[in-house]
Order: sequence, then C-alpha cells, then structure tokens
Amino acid sequence: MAGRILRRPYEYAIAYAILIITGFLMVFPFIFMIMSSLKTSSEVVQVPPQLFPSVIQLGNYFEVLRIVPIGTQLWNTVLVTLGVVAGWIVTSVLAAYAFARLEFPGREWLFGAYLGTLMVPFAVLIVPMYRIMLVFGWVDRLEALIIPWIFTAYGTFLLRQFFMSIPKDLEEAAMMDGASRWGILFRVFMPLARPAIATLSTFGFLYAWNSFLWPLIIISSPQKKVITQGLVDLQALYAARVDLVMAGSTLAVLPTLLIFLLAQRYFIEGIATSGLAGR
Amino acid sequence: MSNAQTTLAPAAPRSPMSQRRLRETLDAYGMLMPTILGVGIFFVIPLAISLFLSFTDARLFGDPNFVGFANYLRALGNATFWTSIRNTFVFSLATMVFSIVPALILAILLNEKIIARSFFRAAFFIPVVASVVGVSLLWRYLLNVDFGFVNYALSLVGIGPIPWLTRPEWGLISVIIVFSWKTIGYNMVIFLAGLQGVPAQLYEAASLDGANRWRQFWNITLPMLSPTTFFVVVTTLINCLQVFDVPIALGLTRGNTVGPADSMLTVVPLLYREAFLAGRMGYASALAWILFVIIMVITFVQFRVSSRWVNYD
Repeated sequence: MAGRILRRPYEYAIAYAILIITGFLMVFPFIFMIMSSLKTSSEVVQVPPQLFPSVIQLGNYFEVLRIVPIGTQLWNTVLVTLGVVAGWIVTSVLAAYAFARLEFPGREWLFGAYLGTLMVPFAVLIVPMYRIMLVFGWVDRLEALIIPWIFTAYGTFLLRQFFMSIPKDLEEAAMMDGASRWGILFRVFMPLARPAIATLSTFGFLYAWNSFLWPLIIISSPQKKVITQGLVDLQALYAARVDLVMAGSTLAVLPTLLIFLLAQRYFIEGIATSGLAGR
Repeated sequence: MSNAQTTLAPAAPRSPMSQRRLRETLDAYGMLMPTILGVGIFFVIPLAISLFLSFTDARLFGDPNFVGFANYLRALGNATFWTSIRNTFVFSLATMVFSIVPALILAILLNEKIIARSFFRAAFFIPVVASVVGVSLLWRYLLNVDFGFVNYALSLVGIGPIPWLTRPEWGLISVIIVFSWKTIGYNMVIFLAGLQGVPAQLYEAASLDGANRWRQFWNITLPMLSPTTFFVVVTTLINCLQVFDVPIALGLTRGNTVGPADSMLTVVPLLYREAFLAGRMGYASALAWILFVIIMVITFVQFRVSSRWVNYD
C-alpha cells in the first residue's frame, strides 16, 4: 500500500462522496439538456423545474430542423471535420516520419521552429488570415475551414514521439530488401502507428467539430455555416424558446459524446502523452 | 525532448554528400513539403502581415496607411481595453484555481484503490469533449435568473435568486464557473498520468524510513508531480488568456456587448468585435500583439520561476 493516502473506511467514504458529487455535477447538466430538449416550451420554464418531460415528444427537433438549416449545418460540420482529420493525418505522418527517422540538414532547426508556432496565440492570425482568404476567394467557402487548418505541430510532435519508439532494425531489414523510405513509411510505420493515429484523429475531430471563432469570421451564408454558428443563431433568434435551443445543443453535443464513449482510450492517452511531454 | 543528434546548419561548409545522404535529404524535404508550404502560407505570412497591420489604420477593405504606434497608444488610453485586460486576468487567475485544485484532488483520489475508476474518469471528462458553444447555451439556461436549475437548487438551501447572467457583478463569475467546469476533467487526466509515473520504490524506501503517509505525500508525491503541475499551470494559463467561446456564447447580446455592461469582455472577444464588427483591423492587430507579448512575458517568467519549485530528477 506504499504511497496510498486512503486507509480507514471513513476516509474511503469521504473519497467516494467527493467523486460521486463531482461526477453528478459533470454529467447531470447533459442529462438535463437532453430531457429539456424533449419538453414543451412551457415545461422548460416551469418553476420548480422537473427533470422528466410529462410527455416525451421529438417535436422540438423537427421544428429546429425546419426554422434554421441545422441539418445542412451538421452536414457541413461533418465535411469540415473529415477534411481536417484526414489532412492532419497526412501532413503529420509525413512530417513526423521525416523528423523522427531521416537525417537532413536543418532537421532540428525546422522541428524546433514548428513547435515554436504553438506559442503564437490564434488571435494574432485571424485578421491577416481573413485578408488572405479574401485574396484566395475563400471567404464564405468551406475550403477556408479546412485547408488552412490541416497542419498541426501538436500532431507532428505526437507521431514523432511514437515513430522514435519503433525499433530501427525493422526499417533496416526493409532497406536491405530495397524498400524506399516512402515504402517503409507506408508499409511498416503507418500500420504500426494505428493507435497514435487514432489518438491524433480524436483530437482533430474535437478541434474541427467544436471550432467556432474562425467559422464565425469567415462564413456568413446560413447554408454554409457550421453547427456552432447555427446554435448561436438559434439562440439569437429564439432566445425565448429554451426547448428549441436545448434540442439544437443536443444535436451539437451528442455526436462528440458518442465518439468519446467509443474511443475513450485514445482521448485519454493523447492527453496523458502531451501532459507527460512536460517532464 | 531535446535530441543529442548533431545538426548540420545549412549555411555551414559541407563535405560533399554521399549519394545516400542526398537521397535522404530529398525524401525528407519531399515529406515536409506540405507542412512547409502550409505553415509558410497560413502561419509565417499571416504573422508578418499581422505585425505590419498593427502599425496601420487598416479597415475591413481598402489600402492601409502607416500610423506608427498610434494603435498601441490608442489601446493603452482606452477604457474598454483596460476592462478587457482586467477581466482577462481576473478570469484567468480564478479559473487557474478552480480548474487546477479540484483536478488535482480528483486525480489523487482516483489514483487510490477506487471501484469504478474508469467510470468516474469518463464522467469527469465528458464536459471536455462537448462543444463549448453547446454547453455555453446549456449553462445559459441552467443559470437563468428566473427558471434556471441552479437558482432552483440554491433556493432549496435558502440562497438567491442570483442574477448570474443579467448583472455585471456576476457575469465574469459565470464565465469562470462554466470554463472551470469544462476544464477540470482535462487537467485531472494529466495529473492522473503524472501520478501514475511516480515510481513505487520511492514510497517503499520512505515507508522503511518510517515516514507516514502525509509526509510521503508532501515529500514524495507533490515534488515528483511538480513537472506535471508546471505543465498544467502553463497550458491552463495560456488557454485562459485566449478565452473566446465561453464569453461570446454565454454573454453576446444584440447590442454587441459581451455580458451585461461588457462584464464578460476579455481580450480576444474585444479583438473580434473591433476587427469584424467595427472593421478596425489595424487596431485589432495591435490588440493581438499586445496579447501575444503578455503571453510570452508570463510564460517566460513562469519558466524562470519554475526552477524554484519544479523538480526534474
């Protein structure tokens, strides 16, 4: 029991009490959100609030889909997310392998500079990026939400760490057989890196699905907006209809919760890895 | 992280490369091509343009004129700017406390022999993955002064009703609550990984020396965890200083104030408002660089001070 703090039964009781109360505070709002999305507009503002709707009805969802193009916006969000995640994988696999395994002039300098980009706040880039999008003709187009954001120093760092842990013998054997560097990357390293790529994908997914500031700036037509913008519009137009706003929020939040529950391990490993990078 | 490999500076005189080294260099730059192009176009160039614009009177459209330090001076003399700075710092300091301390306590508890540990861990993590805008709108409902669940729960113990989102003195507190609630799980997972990295032999040796569990906690666990704590403190602060989504989704009004009487206005929402709602791009760029310098200075100071409390053995 070395290093353990809890020993006596009452200490465990206090620990469980803290964990259960905190767990409740973290999860209950979501349960309340889903329940509220099934209530009528008068039930959601009722005092005292009831957890369960008197009659379960999906009418709010149909109404939300009718009054704001949230269906289209969800689809846009899916496209943007897929694009960003695919881009993250391609660019960081390539860059990470070069940084981890190839020797070339400028390697350490380039890698250091790439990590250095993480220091710069996003806020510094938004004004000039808007002007660049004007030049490219990408204002109010989904390209603007995908192409500029497929480069990730964080992902390159994560995969580089992973590639460096793969034994050198593996690629030396393949080199002997005449495989090229590209062949080794795609046939040896990519398959081995599947867990690291899964971790990277979960982060790319969260990043793209939940992005808000940049879409707010660059996308203005309702048919091209993403879900976070659709939600803010919904709140602005129908502030008094909490039932509708909760249905919209549920549509935005539920996909991430489902993916998290399915791929939990990769989310948590990814954070633990980046946290340990601080050592 | 640092690599002991020797570096060939491109400018240094080089011995003729062997066929193999040339091939490898070409492969490497081939693989790095997308990243170098992308970072060049979407990072290096915007960074330079941003610095340039901050010294101009650029508007949404049209040609910018050079104005020297006028934007920076204007910010320093502007009451709204100072409100946003004050809000940003109050928010950041409070969020540091309320998202890091509970995260550490929860991680320590989960590192014990706890039943259903992964269940608790997942529960604490759910707010982290949920869309910020989605949960901000949810909290807008929960914190409603008349029919929100929070005031109902408080009324059961005789408190309130509290005007969370409708009075300036409560606005920033609401942002702190929502942001901390969303960040605790993230910091907890990092702390938990750090705790699991503390070697068990250290505790065994201390037990043999007769150190009790609290001494072990203070003399082994906390010092061994200090690099993790440092990482959490630095990253949380950097994220807090750049907060945008929560104040906007929780507080943006029709009149474009962020919270009642701009009580939730932090620097990045102000920057957004100046650049894209008022069209003052030069001024907004100056705000961005002021924020950048603040972040760099604070991070630098943290690294300097860290040698006094962070243990890297």
